[in-house]
Amino acid sequence: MKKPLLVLAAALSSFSAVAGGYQVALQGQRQIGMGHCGTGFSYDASSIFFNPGGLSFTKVNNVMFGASFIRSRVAYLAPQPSVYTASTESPVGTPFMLYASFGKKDSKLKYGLGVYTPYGSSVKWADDWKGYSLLQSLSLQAIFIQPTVSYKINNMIGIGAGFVYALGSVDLRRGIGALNTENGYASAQLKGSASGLGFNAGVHIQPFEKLSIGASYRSLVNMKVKGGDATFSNIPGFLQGSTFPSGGTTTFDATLPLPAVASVGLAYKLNDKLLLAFDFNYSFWSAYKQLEFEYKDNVNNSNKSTSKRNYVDAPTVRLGAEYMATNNLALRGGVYYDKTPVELGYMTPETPDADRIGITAGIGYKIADRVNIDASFLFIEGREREQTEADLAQVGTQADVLPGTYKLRVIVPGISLSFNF
Amino acid sequence: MKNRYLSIFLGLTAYAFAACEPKIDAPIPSTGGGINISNYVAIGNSLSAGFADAGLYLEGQQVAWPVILAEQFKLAGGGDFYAPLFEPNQAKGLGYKKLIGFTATGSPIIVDEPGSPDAIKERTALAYDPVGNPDSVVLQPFTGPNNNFGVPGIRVENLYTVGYGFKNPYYGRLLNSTEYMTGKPYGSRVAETNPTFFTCWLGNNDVLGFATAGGYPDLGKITPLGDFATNYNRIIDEMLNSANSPRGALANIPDVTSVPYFTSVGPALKVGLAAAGAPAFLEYHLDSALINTILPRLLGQLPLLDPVNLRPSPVSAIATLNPVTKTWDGNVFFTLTFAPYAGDVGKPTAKAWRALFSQLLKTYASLIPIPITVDDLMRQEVSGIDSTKPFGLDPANPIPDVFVLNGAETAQARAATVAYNEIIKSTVDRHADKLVLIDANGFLNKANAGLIYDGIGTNASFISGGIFSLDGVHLTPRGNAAAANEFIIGINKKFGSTIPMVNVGRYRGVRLP
Repeated sequence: MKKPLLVLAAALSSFSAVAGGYQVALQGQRQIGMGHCGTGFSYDASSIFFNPGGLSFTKVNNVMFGASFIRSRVAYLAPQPSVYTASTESPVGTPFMLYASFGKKDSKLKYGLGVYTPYGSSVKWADDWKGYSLLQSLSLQAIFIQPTVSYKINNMIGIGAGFVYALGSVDLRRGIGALNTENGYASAQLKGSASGLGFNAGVHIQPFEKLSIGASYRSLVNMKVKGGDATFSNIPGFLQGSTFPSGGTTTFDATLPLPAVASVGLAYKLNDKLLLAFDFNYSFWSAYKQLEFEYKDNVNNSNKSTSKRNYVDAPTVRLGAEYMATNNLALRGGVYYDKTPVELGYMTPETPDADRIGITAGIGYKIADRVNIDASFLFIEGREREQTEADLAQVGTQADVLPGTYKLRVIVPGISLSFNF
Repeated sequence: MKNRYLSIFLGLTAYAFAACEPKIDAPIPSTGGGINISNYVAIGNSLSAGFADAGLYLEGQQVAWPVILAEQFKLAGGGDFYAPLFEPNQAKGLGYKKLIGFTATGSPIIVDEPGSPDAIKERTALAYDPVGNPDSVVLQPFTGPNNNFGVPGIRVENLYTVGYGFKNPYYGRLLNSTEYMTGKPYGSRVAETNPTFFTCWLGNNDVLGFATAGGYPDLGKITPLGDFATNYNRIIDEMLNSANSPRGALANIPDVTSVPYFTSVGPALKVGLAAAGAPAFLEYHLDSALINTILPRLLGQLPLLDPVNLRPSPVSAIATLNPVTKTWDGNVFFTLTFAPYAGDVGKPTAKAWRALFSQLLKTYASLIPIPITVDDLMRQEVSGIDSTKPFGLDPANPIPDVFVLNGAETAQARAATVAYNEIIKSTVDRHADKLVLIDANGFLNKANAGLIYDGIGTNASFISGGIFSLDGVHLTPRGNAAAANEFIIGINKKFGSTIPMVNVGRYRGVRLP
């Protein structure tokens, strides 16, 4: 946390996963309003994220900055017959997006820089909840910095690509219920900063005036934590220096995959006032096989802790529309269906994920000649999902997963300001 | 225009924030009409009393599984459940064991935490019982309503013993002065509680005392099957015939050799003996040693050790946990009490004999006509023990009976357990409409293989396993919570109730230093 950008990140971003797994699909306020469709049309500098190929089709340069405010809650009910319920008390997460595009007027080349937060998660359970020995809180942050270049081959096709440098951090806390002393149970905290590399490329095709098509591929980014701080508290003295590190502190390495996403999208201008958009994303979550921490010193008698995740690739289907109520006012709406990458038996307390439906609305308003304000509102309803002891036993995850029923609901208002020049 | 849209937007946002809470409705717990839990009474032994760490003390009493079960009953409309808790000034009872550290070689250092003097009413010869109560302790009576009749040490054999309250201070303290003085038997007292529902976990001590004493009969006998059947059926019948015609849950008894008391010392010793190339070790079998053997021999100057009582056991028969089946292979077990002497095997020392003689002298103090010291007994011409010979390997320095459950003794203990469990099951079968069997034996077998509660791994290992307390027989708070859940599962299944399960992870395992 020494780098200034990370300090900024800490101040601004602590995100709850608002898409499957720990993905955060909140990268443009106009797009959020339209069900987060954005691969198929070129609009402004946010194409840097949605489809670098479309950036070359943007008519003006612009700078935009926005943020969303995630309020996410997960309710939990213990396996029947039990009346135990719990709920996450996760803090409001604020993923942000900053895009700037540059290029000479009428030039075929456009340059851009995007700083955005496509992955993250913030989950906080009560310290004494039923699953305290699995997870008390988790904060995962990832900020992507993406310089981009886009080239308009002709009036029909544009291509673009960006290099991604990702910065991030992880902070995980949990109890160790198996170790009890007169001060209660022992606990663990794993905290570290991470970085990774990747790319984002896309192609934008405009066969007709009214129709545009896009495809993009954002690569896998392996976020590597090197030398993170592992702190173990209230470890019985006789275990220190053998089963656990002496003094309770050591360092750890870990890698968390931020999976690749392939997208295709199209947008159709029904008339001067109405734009319809469709997006299909396919997230290659199968990259997330396991969560492994490698320790410098023995922790619980091993220098490694591994838990299975076995995520599966997951599609998302999005529909959106934008209606120009006046020359200055756009009204937007959208809906999407987000299939979970988390299979039954793997719903850990950090991502007790389920298939989700997102309903979105948004407005855009031109407040001055060159200034637009966009606001969006997103409501996500996760399917109530029950995971039984038998489900855990079948995949052998009893040590990592808490059986029971989970239900997720998220609301996300967001706002952005953009300046054209 | 702009402001109107903005205010609609903000209004919607505020509304949505409020409506955001996802909710899963918890079902309302119910008895399902199959049971009446307005007056639940637990009958049983130390396990039901909350005995742990070789003692009955307040913290254990508060998390005894019947107490936890009653808390869950309460969620389904159950009545008040009163446990006979020690007062704060009596909180440590007669004392218990405490883990303070480990030796350099990893052996636990377990010490005595002294009891609360205020728990003791008096010491009187009237309360003398050579095995259970050699100190002749009478505890301060517990006054007030009581639903938990878990009495440490009680055997099915004792259920209708008149005056049992004199011998067992844990029972005596539950009686009022009239009941105490008239010697009211346990079985009669508990039937008077008129329960609407009861649990019964009895029978463990009828075989456990024999086993924990390594099959040495002075310190523990196996109750004859006929006596067990008579008393067990009688107490269940009297409970069922009491005023409220209750329903009940009867737990069977675990295979005694599956508890860490018998499984924590042997495996390491086996490795050591095998490495030293010893094919067998020698145990000295004692039959009612002090009264019938040691005293006469002491007076007649005959050595105690008679070669006919030497029992060799092959090292290969020492039980170890099969890593695949998670069952105990082998039929020779060492007791947890042998832990301090396990390192002596093969060395010229007889410390284990000194400890045994010291305990016997204490236990039988009032029966010994002349003052005798441990040194008197240890003299070679009296005992025949030659402490210069390798302990456990030489015929002149064998391992005392009390520390070893050999193959024959294991078979006896297991046969008794199987037979008792048959009696318990047939009792349930005879009243199948009113009773449910709780398979405690099956539960502890599963514990040997490892059980995970709320992400916390537990097993039947000593100290680290989290289920068994420092005495290796009784349960930790976590083990009590797990046991309560076994009862809840069985009761729900049988009677169609939906008594909520308890969060086992909330309760602690062994408290580590």
